[in-house]
Amino acid sequence: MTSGLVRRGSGSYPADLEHLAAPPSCLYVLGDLACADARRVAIVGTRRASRVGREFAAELGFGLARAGLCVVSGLARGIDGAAHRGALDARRTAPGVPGPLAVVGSGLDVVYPAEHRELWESVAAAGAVVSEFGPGTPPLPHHFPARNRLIAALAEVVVVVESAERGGSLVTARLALDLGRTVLAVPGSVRAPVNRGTNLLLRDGASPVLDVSDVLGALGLAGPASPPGPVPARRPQHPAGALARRVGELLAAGPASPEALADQLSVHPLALTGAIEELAQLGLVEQPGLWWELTPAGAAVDW
Amino acid sequence: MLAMIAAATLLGAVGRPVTVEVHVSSGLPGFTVVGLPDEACREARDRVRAALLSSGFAWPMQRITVNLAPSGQRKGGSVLDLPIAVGLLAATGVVPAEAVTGRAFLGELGLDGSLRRVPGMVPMVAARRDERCVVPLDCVSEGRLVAADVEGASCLGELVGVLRDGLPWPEPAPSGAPDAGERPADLADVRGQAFARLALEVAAAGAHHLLLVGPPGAGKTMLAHRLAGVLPDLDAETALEATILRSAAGLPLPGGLLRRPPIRAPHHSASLVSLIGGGTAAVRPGELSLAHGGVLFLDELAEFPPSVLDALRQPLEEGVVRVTRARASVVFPAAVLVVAATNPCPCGHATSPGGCRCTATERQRYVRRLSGPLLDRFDVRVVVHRPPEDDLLALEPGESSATVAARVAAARERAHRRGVVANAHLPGSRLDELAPLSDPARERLREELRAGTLSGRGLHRVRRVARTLADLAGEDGPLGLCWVALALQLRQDPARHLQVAA
Repeated sequence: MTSGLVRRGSGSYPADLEHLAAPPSCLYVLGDLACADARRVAIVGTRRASRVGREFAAELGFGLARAGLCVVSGLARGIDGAAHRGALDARRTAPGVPGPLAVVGSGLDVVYPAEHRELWESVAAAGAVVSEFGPGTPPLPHHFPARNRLIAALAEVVVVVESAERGGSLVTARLALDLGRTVLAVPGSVRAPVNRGTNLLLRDGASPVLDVSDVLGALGLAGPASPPGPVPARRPQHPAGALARRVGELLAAGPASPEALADQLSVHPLALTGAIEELAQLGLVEQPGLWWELTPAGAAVDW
Repeated sequence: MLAMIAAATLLGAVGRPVTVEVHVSSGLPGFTVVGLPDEACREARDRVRAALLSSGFAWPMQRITVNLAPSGQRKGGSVLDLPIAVGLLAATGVVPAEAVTGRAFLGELGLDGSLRRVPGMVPMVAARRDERCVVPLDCVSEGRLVAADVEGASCLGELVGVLRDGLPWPEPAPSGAPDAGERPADLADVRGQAFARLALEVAAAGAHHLLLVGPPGAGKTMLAHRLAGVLPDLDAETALEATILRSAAGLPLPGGLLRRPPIRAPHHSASLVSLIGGGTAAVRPGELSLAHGGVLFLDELAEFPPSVLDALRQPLEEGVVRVTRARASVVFPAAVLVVAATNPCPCGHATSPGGCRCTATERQRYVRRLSGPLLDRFDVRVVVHRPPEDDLLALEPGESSATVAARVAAARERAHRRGVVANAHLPGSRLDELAPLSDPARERLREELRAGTLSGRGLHRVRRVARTLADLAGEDGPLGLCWVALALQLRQDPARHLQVAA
């Protein structure tokens, strides 16, 4: 793994950064910046993502890397990390594809968040981790908007997967729009706070992303031999009891706490617990935090 | 020229008999109090002198020595004013000696000769229950809770009138209505919140400590204040203990004996001593003991200093507080049901995905305070959500406190038959016998243990809560899967969302 310094004006300095009002005078690089020669797509989103969001970000990262694109993101918790993981998976299964590019808000020797050390090193080994901050710079809050502007400048298309109403990823999206980049957003439940930001982007005119081909389309690339999503006719039917189905229906609209479910259905906690147990036994729902949500298997069910 | 007067002082929540010996003899006029009096006690000299003069009695120009026996014990407070004054009156022959024998005197004197109440009247009268007690007139009803023969007077002159001239004892003002009138707010006001209501019921029925987690404005405080209303009345022994503790803390007892479980809600800035009990001048019961038999509500649990929460752990296990000081050590009863409320994170919105706006560090710091041994003390932990505005109007009023209280009383009755006050006290060694598991329930718990989401201690607690759930439904026999699953659902882990956010 190499590390080095790329000065503005040198051949390997990404030309797209010149679109910025104040391009960084130099970039610190860990890894090989050659991955940036491919066409670049940024995948960004909240650090506090739902499981569905993280899985979809990984799916996008995987699909876009497989399509020969360089996935740009910020190595943060949540969506960013998931997107990088997806891109790395693609490279593992098909070694020819470009590695991911990460832009971080601290010095390259200051791994933040600390639990991403392994991911950080994998990205540097497969692609590159870059920063405009010198070694030893701590990840201060104001570094992240600066980091976001580099992500916006480096990407041709910015995909926002999940974002709260005032999330940092909306800052990236706005910077990208100012630079004339295309901004795409992944739609979500109108009730879930985690989808509020992306749904606002859609309302304001961003194009929706339902799968990888939507991103490829925005880049003017043909989608891969069209997998138009799961075939609706083949979706499994809902299982078991009537109450369990209504629980599934509600969860399909977004994650909810048992409290909220009991109130919406006006049932006794005992009955509700029975229904949730039934769904959990079938592997359709899970409880990742203080709420219940559908598993991928549950999301595939036609409630 | 010697008079011996029976009296008592307060140590913690226990009255200790004290004999006040007053000796009046010729010599240089003077007034000495010996026998380890504290500051308030030594000041009795000045109050007694002024009170006697204002009441129209002569001050003997003689040598006066007052001894407080047993003289090795330190005595505090102003309760010995009255016995000293009565002793002086008896020693100087103003009241006949036989009028004061067999009586105990308790009370503080005002400079005008009036008799005033002091904290701890109930336990002090209890310490002198074999004598005929004389107390300030407004304390008579309290004294009669623990002793048969208690009379009162409003001032020194009145008292002398009775003792010397044989006038009748003045009638105390009728005490207020029993406190049944001030039943706490009703559960029917709570709309929706099915899980929180169930959690409240389970906590009351099984004496399981309860933790409510939810965003600001979800109604955590409202729920907690309704818990006392569904608890059964205090039994005679607990009622007396609670009344004595309340009296020792100097709090008013408007309804006489405390029959309804008390609720105490100390603020999170409360000091350790104010919660646990203690103090330098007099050892005073803390909030924990004032909630004896009832509910201790800790709002904003995570804001309490860790030292305070740690200090609560041992009393919660034992049901008593031991305060040990260099001069004395005191045991206060403290069998309480703890209800705590907390936000899941500093901003309070981590109960839904993406709702939280805190940084990961902020939340980690917050949750670290909540996790571990403290969280383990709470058998029942539920998420309270903020119901949508429409629901507040649309939903039917919930069951009333009286309905729930009836089920709680029935469930407690079942626990009594197992030999415990409530299911939270079921000994772990007898769980297999008292809370046997059905096969599917056992399998379900095994899964949880295997997945690492349940600890050995947690397992016991889940079984006890499941037992309570079955008791509330009136079911005997092995615990079915549904009760165990529900008990698991009533055991949310507010620390868990951290791992999700990572």
